[in-house]
Amino acid sequence: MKLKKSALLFLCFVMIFCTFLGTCLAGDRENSQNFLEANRAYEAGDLTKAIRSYEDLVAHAGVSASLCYNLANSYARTGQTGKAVLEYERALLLAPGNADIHTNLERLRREKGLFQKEIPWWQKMGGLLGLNQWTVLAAIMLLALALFHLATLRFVVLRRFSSSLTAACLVLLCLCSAGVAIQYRNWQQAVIIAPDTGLLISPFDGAGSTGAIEEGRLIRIIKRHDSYALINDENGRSGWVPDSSFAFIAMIMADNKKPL
Amino acid sequence: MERLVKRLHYIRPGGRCRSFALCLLLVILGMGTVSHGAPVVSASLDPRSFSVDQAATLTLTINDGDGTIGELPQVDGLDIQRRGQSSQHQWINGSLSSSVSTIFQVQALRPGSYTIPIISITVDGKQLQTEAIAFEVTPATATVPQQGGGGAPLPLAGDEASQLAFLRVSPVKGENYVGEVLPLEIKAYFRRGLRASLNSQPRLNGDGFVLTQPNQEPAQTEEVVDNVPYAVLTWPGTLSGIKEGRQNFSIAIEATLLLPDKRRRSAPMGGDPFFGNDLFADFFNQQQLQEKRIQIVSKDMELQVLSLPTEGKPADFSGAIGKFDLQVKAQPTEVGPGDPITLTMTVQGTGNFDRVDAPVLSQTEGWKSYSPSSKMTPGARVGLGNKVFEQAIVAKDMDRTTIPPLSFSFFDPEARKYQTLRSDPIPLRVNKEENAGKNEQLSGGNNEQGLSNGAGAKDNGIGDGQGRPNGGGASDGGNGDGQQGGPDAAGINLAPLHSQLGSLQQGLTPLVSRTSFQIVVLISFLLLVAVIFLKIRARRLANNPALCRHLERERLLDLSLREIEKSREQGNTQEFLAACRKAMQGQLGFVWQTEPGAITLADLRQRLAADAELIALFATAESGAYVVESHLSQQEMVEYAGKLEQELRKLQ
Repeated sequence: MKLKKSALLFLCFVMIFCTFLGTCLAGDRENSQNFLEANRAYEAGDLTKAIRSYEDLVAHAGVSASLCYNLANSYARTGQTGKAVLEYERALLLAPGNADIHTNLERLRREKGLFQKEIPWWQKMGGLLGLNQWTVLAAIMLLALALFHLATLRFVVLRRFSSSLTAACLVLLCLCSAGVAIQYRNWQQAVIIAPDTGLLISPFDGAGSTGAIEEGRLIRIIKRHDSYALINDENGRSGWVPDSSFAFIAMIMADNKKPL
Repeated sequence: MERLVKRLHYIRPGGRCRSFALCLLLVILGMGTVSHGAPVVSASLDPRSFSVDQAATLTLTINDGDGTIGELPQVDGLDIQRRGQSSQHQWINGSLSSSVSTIFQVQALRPGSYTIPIISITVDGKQLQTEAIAFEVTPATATVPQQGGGGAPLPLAGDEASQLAFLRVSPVKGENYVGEVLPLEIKAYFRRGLRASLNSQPRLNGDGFVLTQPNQEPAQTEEVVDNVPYAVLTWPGTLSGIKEGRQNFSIAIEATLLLPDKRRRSAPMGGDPFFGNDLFADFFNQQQLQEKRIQIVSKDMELQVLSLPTEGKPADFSGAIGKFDLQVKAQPTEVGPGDPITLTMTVQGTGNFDRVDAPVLSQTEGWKSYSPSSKMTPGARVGLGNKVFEQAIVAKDMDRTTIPPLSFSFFDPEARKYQTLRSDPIPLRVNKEENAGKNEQLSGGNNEQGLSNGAGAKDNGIGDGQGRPNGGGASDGGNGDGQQGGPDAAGINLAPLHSQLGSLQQGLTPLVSRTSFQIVVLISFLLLVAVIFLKIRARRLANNPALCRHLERERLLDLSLREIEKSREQGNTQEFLAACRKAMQGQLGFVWQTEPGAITLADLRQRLAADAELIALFATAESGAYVVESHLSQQEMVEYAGKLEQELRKLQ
């Protein structure tokens, strides 16, 4: 009797697990189908439909590097430079080493005259890996250092070997931390998505303009005031722009106006 | 006494009220019997010397009497206004004194020496007189007007309000061109001491012009016009004609003046001056003032607005009118195929910068240019400034050796003709190797070409005729007209789509922000800290043999005591005593650095003091170990073990 009860309980558990797994797989299959359908629309030249499908996927299922990349391509082909750059940058955050994303972003920037200033060597080094990769490496270094020294309490290790390994781990830990810091700055950038965005002197309607900033330019938010933000662009220019004119790279979900 | 207490207790609450009323009645009756002093009147003026734009306070006081003050005598050049009344009662040593003060505000219409004559006041049916008061009124002092209103407002007659403030606009020349920026200064004059607040910025009356003002507060100064001091608010601004022909205009501003109210208030309680007293208003510096909204309008001005000549108008003329200079920089000047060159073009001078567009390349063939960005920096005064354009260009042709001249055209209203500024060609080197120019870009190499408006390098009359490629260019505050010569957005050669969706994640949250990851890192860090602590401790022990030996002896003693406890629990006396002997040998051997097994009772007697407790304990243990019949009760064993532990711990 007791055995029967246990078996019944196990069966119930298996059924619940299978149902959950089935739902997940069905959801994944549906997302993949929608994604392929959007791809087909893109290939057929129906860019409006493709963009709508990609955006629906982002809103309901989440983001992936490929999804952002394909959406960015669709935006680029419809002339929405700002949104295209934004999606390429998002895709790069998820897949920093992807050559397609780098190539297309580079081409789009070149075509639109969004040339960037020479990046310092340390920023280039920081860009070799993504934020998550740098983070994982730094954590591994920390853990390795702790485990190694824990082992030396039990086992006899040559002092020179111990010192060398500790120094190497510490140097790598510092480098990885620097990489994290550099990449984390990129996660807090935003992109101008509205055409004809003027840099205003003051944060209110009708304020004087100090110039214009191109759609697709990377910016940093210095401070906010009502529905305006004081920004600093890649070339060091600053001014107030309306909130509606930019979007944060690392914010896709509901509230687009808050950084991480 | 007891009866009195009882009576007090019997007093009801109503009885207490009656007692209080009785006391009050006695006080009032007593007041009636107190004596008044003889009535006295006095007059005082404070201050005795003041300027035309200030006021003094005249106080007439009636002491110990009931009187009325009639109309004050008229004094030529003085304006005396009643401001209120106050009364004061004092009861000192049974003597009641009272005083009633009436306050007047005295202002002079012109500087000079004045005298307030003797004033007659009827008090208790008697005619009393004040003394005459002489005082001095000085001309107005030229000081900065008080902010927030601390001085007394000027007395004004009905028709004076229109003269209290006026507007002046300067300078306005007789003619200008459509779109030309005419710097001007708007000054609002307010009589000093007048309390006023502005309700609007200066506004233009007339539809032939546009008035532009910088977003800033007006400057506050003081000016004396015809010996009358004025607080002056000055706004800088520019005027641009938008309609040709003779145009009239004026500038207006709205303000609210706080003027003294000359109307007497009617006393609401049958003429009793107490309730109509204005003293409280005076006390809180809220004299009776009335707000008056006014519109100050400048005099009508006339300007002849001319149209720009069509003759000699350059093709690249964008509407800029004024006097400008042009500077062009290019960076880098050594590039690889397809590398962008950034042109930094600075247009500076005076004029309508909103119509200043980016200079254009005089030759576009073989060049791909992108829409320029712009940044306007205003200068120290209105209309002055510089506008910096940045534009990327790419050489399509590898054989290019120079960047072609850039031209900028404007209309000079003083010379009354169009002018075209052209930069010199900038030498360029296009290397066939990729990224050849990167080094120069890093080192900041650039080539600068300057051109002065008055240096003779300008090209008067018609420009080079090249105009703007694609007929466009960047407008101020906009993103320009798109690319110049580039393919359209759909024509970008993009890498193909990704066919695999990949793993989806909800939002872009970096690993470093996730709690689970933070916990892992924290655990790793704490583990590292703990290990480092343990290693430091081990190293400290290794470097201190005495401490090490002490800890080792403590460890051995603990082991021995555990063994003794075990044998005690078993109740085996012989094993217990043997364990005790072994423990003593072990500890003494450790301390004496000898073999523990070789230590005997004789050694203890030889090396320890004769009365040492340990000798007796050792003797007991040794004898018990060899005597089979020996038996110790549990209590004895506990006591023995206790003593032994105590003695062994004392060993050094």
